[in-house]
Amino acid sequence: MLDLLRTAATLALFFVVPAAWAGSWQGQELEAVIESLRRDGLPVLYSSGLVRSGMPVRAEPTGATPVVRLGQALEPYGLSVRAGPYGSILVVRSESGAGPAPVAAAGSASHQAVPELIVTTSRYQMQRQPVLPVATLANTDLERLPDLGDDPLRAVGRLPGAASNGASAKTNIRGGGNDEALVAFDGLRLFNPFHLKDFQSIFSSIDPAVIEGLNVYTGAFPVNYGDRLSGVIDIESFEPPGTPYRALALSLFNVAGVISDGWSDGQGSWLLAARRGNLDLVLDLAGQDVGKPRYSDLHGQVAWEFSEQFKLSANALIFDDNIVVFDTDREEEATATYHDSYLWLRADARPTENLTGFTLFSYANLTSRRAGTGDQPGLSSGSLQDLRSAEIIGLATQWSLDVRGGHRLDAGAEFRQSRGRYDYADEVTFDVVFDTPGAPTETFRSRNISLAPEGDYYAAYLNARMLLSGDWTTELGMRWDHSTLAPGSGAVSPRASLLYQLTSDTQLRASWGRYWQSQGIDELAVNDGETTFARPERADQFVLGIEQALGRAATARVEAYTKNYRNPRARYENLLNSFALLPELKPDRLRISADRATARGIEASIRSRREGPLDWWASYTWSEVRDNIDGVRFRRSWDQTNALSAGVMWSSERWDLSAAANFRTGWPTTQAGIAEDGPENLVTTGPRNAERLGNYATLDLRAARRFQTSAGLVSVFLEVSNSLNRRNECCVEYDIDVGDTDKFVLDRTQSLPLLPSIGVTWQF
Amino acid sequence: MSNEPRREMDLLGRIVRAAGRRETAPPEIRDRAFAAASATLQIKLRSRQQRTLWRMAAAAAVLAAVGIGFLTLQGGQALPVAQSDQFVGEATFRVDGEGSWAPLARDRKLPAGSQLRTGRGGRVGLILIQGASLRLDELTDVRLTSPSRVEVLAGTVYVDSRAAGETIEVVTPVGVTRDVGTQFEVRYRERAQRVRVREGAVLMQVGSGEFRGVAGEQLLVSPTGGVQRAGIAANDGSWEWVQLVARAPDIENMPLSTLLEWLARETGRPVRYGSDAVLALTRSTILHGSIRNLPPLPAVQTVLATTDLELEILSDGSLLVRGRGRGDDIH
Repeated sequence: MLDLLRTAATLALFFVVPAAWAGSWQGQELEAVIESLRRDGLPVLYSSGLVRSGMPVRAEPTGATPVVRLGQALEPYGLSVRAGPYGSILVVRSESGAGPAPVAAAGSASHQAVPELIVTTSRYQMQRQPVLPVATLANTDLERLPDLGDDPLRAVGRLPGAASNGASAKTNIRGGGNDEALVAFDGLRLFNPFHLKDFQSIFSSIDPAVIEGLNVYTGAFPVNYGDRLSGVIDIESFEPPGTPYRALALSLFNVAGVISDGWSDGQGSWLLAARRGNLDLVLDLAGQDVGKPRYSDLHGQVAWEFSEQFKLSANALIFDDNIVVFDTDREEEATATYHDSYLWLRADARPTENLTGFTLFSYANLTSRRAGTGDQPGLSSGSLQDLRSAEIIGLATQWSLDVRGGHRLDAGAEFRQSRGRYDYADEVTFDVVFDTPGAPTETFRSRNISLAPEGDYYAAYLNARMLLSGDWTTELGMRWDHSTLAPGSGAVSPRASLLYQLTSDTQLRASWGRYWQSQGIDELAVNDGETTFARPERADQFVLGIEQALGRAATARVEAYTKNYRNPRARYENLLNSFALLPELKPDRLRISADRATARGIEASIRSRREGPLDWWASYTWSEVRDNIDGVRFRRSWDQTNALSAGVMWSSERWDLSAAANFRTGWPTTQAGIAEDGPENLVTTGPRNAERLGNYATLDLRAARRFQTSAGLVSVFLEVSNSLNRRNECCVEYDIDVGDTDKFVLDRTQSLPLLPSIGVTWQF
Repeated sequence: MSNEPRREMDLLGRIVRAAGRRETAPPEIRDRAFAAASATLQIKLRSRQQRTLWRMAAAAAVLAAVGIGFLTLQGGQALPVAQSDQFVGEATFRVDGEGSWAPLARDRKLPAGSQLRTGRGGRVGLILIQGASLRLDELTDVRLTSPSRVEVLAGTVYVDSRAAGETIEVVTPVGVTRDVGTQFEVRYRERAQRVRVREGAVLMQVGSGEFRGVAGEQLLVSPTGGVQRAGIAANDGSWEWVQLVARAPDIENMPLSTLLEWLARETGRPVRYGSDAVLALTRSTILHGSIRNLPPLPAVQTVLATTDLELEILSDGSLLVRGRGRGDDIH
């Protein structure tokens, strides 16, 4: 009851106070203004150390709320307001950068009032703004990183424990499959948010202009994230400032624009961002006759801040692909269209001083149409048509209660109702078959699958963060997931994390958790003959880490992890060439059904504290991941024993220069050939993934120069991926050299060569 | 109005200025003089307090008689002996020894005879009516028999009696512990009693024996009655729980230096200053607002965010106050 009264009083305060303060502030002493606001109930905390007598309000503030107006009044003195604990408003020095989030940025009530303490291991933040001390070397500045196509999700591949083939924007995290990372956009789960989905997913669907930063968990993540086994990429969207903001960007890979404005003194805001990929135009210009891969995406938001306690926003994300692609000798040709649209309403609320939460109602529509033919004499020939659609209606809510003493209670629930449609047909003749378990054994195959699955997904979770006596902090959580798409899929996930503050500079962390992943409505591999949804997979993770501040210069972190998979879902891979346009029409397509799998590794990283113009990082990871099939352990195809990542970024008022290097052990591959004394159409193989491709290394560079003009801020950049043009082996192409002997030929092919890009952005 | 007092002040000022700055006395002489002055002051204060106490007692007796008579006529409850303040986790109470247990709420007035219990993770802070702070650790069961007497049936209590008007007695089945202006903790578990003294001194009575414990000492009474002594530092990690339910002071118009002194007492960590200029700044900086719901360290860190100072926990456990981002370069 008291809380209700307090809430009512606070709400009344925020509605009434603006009216009471319609009078002029200009000329009044700041201290007097603050005292008046306090008398009206605004919980301002300040000191004479910053707010001194004789400091008048220099210009009449125009903000809609007292807090915004106070911030405007403080600005000329280098001061600002920040959200403090329990709803208080702190008057702080603007350049301090420390402490709780700025109130202006925290206009959304979803922001936590209490500075966050990271208990869980393996969390990285990647933001445009300087990040919390938890940041390690991999907490990259997305704007300045030399990543292909300015793709924010590609930056995840530079984190310790991440593995990427260099071409795809998807990442394997700590030995997991590349579908084991949850991608969420402002709390909304996105389903496979990539362009060119069936063609290596070269770019993510996330326009860098619409995001504020990424929170990435590469390991044991808290219970508010679920239904994925390996990691979380939680994208924070760019919050419209409520004032006019426009930007245009043109580069070799994209043309993009964003426009945003506000009304009612910033109480309402809207944003529209659109992007079109230029890959088709670039290929045309380069004279590469490999097709026309077109894609575009759009993000829109309209928000209204009813008070500092309640905000409502309507959002849309739309991704479109229209792809025609073929190989250079036109033996394979594929067309595909993808259309994903997400519409959602999000309500952020802070009903009491220490209770915050959001509720999200969403609708997603995912459709894809893919067709293709392949005719490789001596290997296989066939065609396929793959039509899919899914509709997902979702409701999610999440609440956090801050309890005195640094304790916090998080609780939430999710519900999704999904309906799908699959119409798949193919017909293929194999001229060779592979003598390896899981490969097609017949020389002719025809599939015709039509399905209309429907199912619901439920989840609920509870997490308690407790500051124990001494220097111990713990997080204990429990999550329950249930999907009706597969029978018997109810699953409970207990998770626990422990933080021990060994010294003021040293933190020890340990996490253990159980993770489940169900097969989503859009994930049924009908192209590989699946007609029923698999039971959820399970992984138990244990992570042990130490983080050490090295003076004021750098922070070092070492983490060791193990991840044990139980009943992993069968997956499908091509034994030799994973870059095929129509992989399911290839004779080396394998079904891999492991009994269990194990991943383990040690990651060591160091990164600078970002206190000067120079920012740098370096990391080394040792890891291994093995499938256990019938008692035999095989490397997974993305197993990389050693991985190194390092980078440096230098910024001045006008220049940004950055360089990032990656090195890793070559990924596994399998020996194959046709035995001289065996049947002509039987490819014999060695132990699966017993050999390795050559080591992979890239050096990516970026230089940007800013120009402040009367028309706005113009930035020109030059970016070079794989600047040394190193020939990195990615896969093995195979062919039958049709001639007198019909020789089986293997050829190791290269990943992306040197790729320059130039671009310009204009903010006005 | 007469100008006499003003002229006297001017004269005093001239004499002081004419004398010039005095030499600083050697530390041992200064300490002796300070001790002697303190003793004299204490005697004077005590006699004045006694006179004041007699007058107050007489007035209180009259008021109490009227009040008790009024309450008796009204058939109301007994006078409160404590009021709940901060608490976390599960905490329940009952007004008399027989009634049903009810969840504890903040600012609940508790009459004599009230019994309180905390669950796993539950901790409660109470303000006794005579001013002392009484804090209950988790899994604790106590009875408030009077404003100055607490019975510990099980668990751990902490007493900060600096603001108390009278001696506090903590009673367990093992014995009675009385404060001598102090911070101390009493734990009764499995028929054993442990008393830890953080500041000042306590007198512990077990059977016919009386034991004195001073700051930094721990007295452990075994179930067989044997008493063992050990050391316990004021900033030992085992004191951390008391901060969770510490009552933050009203900082309105409070100098920052006073808040830092409170922090030092609550955490048991000495506070150091990066330079004399930093120390001076903490004395001249006046605070406005409220930190009521915050434990000591977050409270002070929040307040320091509104200044140009910051706090660092040094490896020896002490707290260093220094200029934000500029080391000690405060002028």
